[in-house]
Amino acid sequence: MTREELIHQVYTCATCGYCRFGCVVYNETGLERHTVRGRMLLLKKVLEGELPLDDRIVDSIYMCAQCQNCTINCPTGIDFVEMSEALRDELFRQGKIPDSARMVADVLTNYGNPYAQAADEKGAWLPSKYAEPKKSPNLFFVSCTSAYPLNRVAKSILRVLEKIEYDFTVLGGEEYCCGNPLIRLGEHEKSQEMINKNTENFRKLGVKRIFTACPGCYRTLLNHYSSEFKIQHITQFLLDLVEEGKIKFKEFPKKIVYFDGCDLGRHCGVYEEPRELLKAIPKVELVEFEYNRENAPCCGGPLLGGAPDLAKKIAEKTLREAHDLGVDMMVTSCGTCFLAFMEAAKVSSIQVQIRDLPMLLPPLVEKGE
Amino acid sequence: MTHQEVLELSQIVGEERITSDEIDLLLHSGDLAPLPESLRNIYGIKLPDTLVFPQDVEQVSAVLKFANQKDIPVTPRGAATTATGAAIPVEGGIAMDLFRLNEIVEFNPQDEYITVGAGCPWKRIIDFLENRGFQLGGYPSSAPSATVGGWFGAGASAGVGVPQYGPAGEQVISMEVVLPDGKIYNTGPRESWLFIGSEGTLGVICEVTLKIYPKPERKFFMYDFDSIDAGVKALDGLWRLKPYFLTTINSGLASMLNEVGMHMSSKPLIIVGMVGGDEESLKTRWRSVEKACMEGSFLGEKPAEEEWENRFKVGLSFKTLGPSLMALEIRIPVPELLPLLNELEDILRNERWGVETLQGDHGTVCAVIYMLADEREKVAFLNKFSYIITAARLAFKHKGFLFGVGLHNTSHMNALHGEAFHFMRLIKNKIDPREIMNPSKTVQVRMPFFMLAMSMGMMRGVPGLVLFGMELASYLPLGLLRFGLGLMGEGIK
Ligand SMILES: Cc1cc2nc3c(=O)[nH]c(=O)nc-3n(C[C@H](O)[C@H](O)[C@H](O)COP(=O)(O)OP(=O)(O)OC[C@H]3O[C@@H](n4cnc5c(N)ncnc54)[C@H](O)[C@@H]3O)c2cc1C
Ligand code: SF4
Ligand code: SF4
Repeated sequence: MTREELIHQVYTCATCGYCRFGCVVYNETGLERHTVRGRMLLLKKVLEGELPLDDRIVDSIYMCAQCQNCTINCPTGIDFVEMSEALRDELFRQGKIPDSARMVADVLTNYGNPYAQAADEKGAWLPSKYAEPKKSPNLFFVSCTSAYPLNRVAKSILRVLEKIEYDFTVLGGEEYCCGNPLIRLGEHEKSQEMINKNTENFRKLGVKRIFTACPGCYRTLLNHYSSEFKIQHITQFLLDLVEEGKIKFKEFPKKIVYFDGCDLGRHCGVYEEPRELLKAIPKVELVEFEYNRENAPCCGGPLLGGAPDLAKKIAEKTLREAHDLGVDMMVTSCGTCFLAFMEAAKVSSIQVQIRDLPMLLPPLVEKGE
Repeated sequence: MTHQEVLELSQIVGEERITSDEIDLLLHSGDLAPLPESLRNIYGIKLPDTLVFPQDVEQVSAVLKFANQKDIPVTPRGAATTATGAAIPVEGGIAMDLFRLNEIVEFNPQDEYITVGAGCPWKRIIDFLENRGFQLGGYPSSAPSATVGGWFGAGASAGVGVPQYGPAGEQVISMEVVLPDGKIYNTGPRESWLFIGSEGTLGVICEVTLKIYPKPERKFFMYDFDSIDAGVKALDGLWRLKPYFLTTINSGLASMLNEVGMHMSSKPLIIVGMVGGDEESLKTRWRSVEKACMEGSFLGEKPAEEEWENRFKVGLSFKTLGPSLMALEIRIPVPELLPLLNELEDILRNERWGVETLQGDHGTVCAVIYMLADEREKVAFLNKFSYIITAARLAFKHKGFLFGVGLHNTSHMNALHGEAFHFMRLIKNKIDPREIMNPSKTVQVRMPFFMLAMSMGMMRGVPGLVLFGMELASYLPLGLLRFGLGLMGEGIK
């Protein structure tokens, strides 16, 4: 987005406040500075020389989960996520990014992952037979989230793939961060380095199809990597296998509500495949949240780093709704959402079982023909 | 307010529910209309001293009690989607955002009512009810942001549902209101009317219980007409059929909508509507719709339904063409729409403009006149701003009135209400003798009419000079300016 386009957007904002409706940050704080409308008014003042671009305004730009719910309701089509990427770029260049974002950027550049874990430990969770990446057209791109805090998810996927004897490879310690968090922070040069290293590895192994359980990686692989690779989210990949008859499920008599994460949902438009996959499991009763698919709220997860208390309050609202729906379990297909809900559950009295979708599958999967 | 007073207030609402940060005050000091800084100066608009987010009715009551004792102005605020300055805390003091009173408190499908907090956006209630097979008797087309308290504060006299069920005040079973002295008062359907349209000048609405209706079968229609005359005639027949939704779009608006990617007919007038009922009654109503629209061409149910889905967005979706937009709202009887549109052709011949009407109660329409503008071109923008006074003239001429009073239209109160205006002042004096509730609005004239007419007239004639004068005036001590204007305003009161 060019500077001119950005300025035009600022003046296009109708100050109607529709962007407040589904904004999880605003709906906790109640402050206009956390709405797109508020930010547009502030930027207008900055452009007109009435306010300096000070910390408060910078913070207001960063106090956003980049979930894009505001765009759904905006009558003038303002896409704050796109705008804020351009703004963050500019702030990054001017050295004006907030300390919390600076720290995340430093961790990412120093460790190559957002969890400050040693890069060569990325494959530590893998059974020894996967220690060396082998040649295969199918690559399971594990992601930092599934390799470090959530290797339960990665292990579940591995078990499913082994059960159906699927030919695939993993990069282990040679897998680099997809680049997504750095792109979001405005550090484009560094993210490109990571993209290049990964691409080189993909080509070396003869990879054609890449699947990942992380919607953030999925979004980045889809939009920032070469189109020579077929990119799939794990739910799309597994649904294909179900439809091809390669996977069968045992019965699972549970009432489940599915939570649409923003990366997979609004950002990539994947709403039905996870639902179809759940419905393919016999006896699953699938129910919906009041606001679902493109209207779903954000889980709060993207704010866990910068504003953890706020993030947990946001996540708790969804937990409460799931609880009130009387479900046995809430299922998401995003590690960030899963972590956000788990963090909220730790400090809340609300009891709901939470699962990242692949975690459900190992005991249910049977090899098809 | 003194530092001590702000401290005391923070003890009442809790530290996390109050802010005096300049940025927050700034953002909570305006409304939908981009008011030129120079005009803010002329009005002498102050920033609020502090912004509070009371959590419940008890906190609202405690804040008002405190403000009343200390003579501090309080301005209630919903989503600030009004453009008349009604929600602007002109006199500073406490801006009270009702955001935290946003719960759906009780849903009773058996007895067919719902109780909601004043800060709840209408869309949340609409969605909640739709998912459970019910509908409201009325809501504004700004539903994704407009709040329950804000719409009732603004009068709730036009919108979706209104042509069928009448002004939304008739949907109110009871209200929980806090009076300026902090007393909590539960109204019945009749007393509620006192607060409907009072624009926050008599108290704070905290909770409202509304009638709800089982959602009927719905049928959508869209017609276009070869002449405005034929279209208005159809509209005059249609409102009598009590449709749930009824709106018109003139060719000027259609052309702007087409420019941003919609596919509207280019005929002089388009009518879109929806009627509901059971299978049998729907058939009869549908025949009546067809009869009323005999002179028009039916464009199908599908595009009409799309228009319905888009009903909250239509009026703003073309704003990028401005990128600023002036919106003037007047309420007139349906037959007056024809002469109004003809007159606008002449008055606005040098502007890019369009009109949308929303059906109001008792056969009136709220005509929203949209005009593209660019607020960065200050002189030209001021020139356009002066159409505010043209809108008032048109409203009176066409047997109607202004849609909302707020700040910008206070000077017309005498003309609007005559004797009743004095009666309204008596009520205000009785309920709010210390005049803490939203001062300078509605029943308190901030700027006398001749002053407004003069400045607006000059804005039209020599906007450059006005801008220069205003810029100059902004260097005067604000107090002096406010004192001068205040004196004149007092005179009128
Ligand atoms: C796109 C668009 C479409 C619109 N469509 C319609 C329509 O169909 N029908 C219609 O009538 N209007 C319409 N409007 C005008 C406006 O949206 C409505 O009047 C709206 O209901 C105002 O609600 P709000 O929460 O924004 O109130 P605000 O603008 O915040 O407040 C309005 C007035 O009420 C007072 N107030 C706010 N909350 C309370 C409270 N709790 N207790 C007491 N007083 C209070 C304020 O002080 C102010 O005087 C539209 C506006 C836009 C931008
Ligand atoms: S919804 Fe869009 S146009 Fe309306 S205030 Fe928000 S950003 Fe501006
Ligand atoms: S992207 Fe999400 S968090 Fe950010 S302003 Fe929009 S709705 Fe709020």
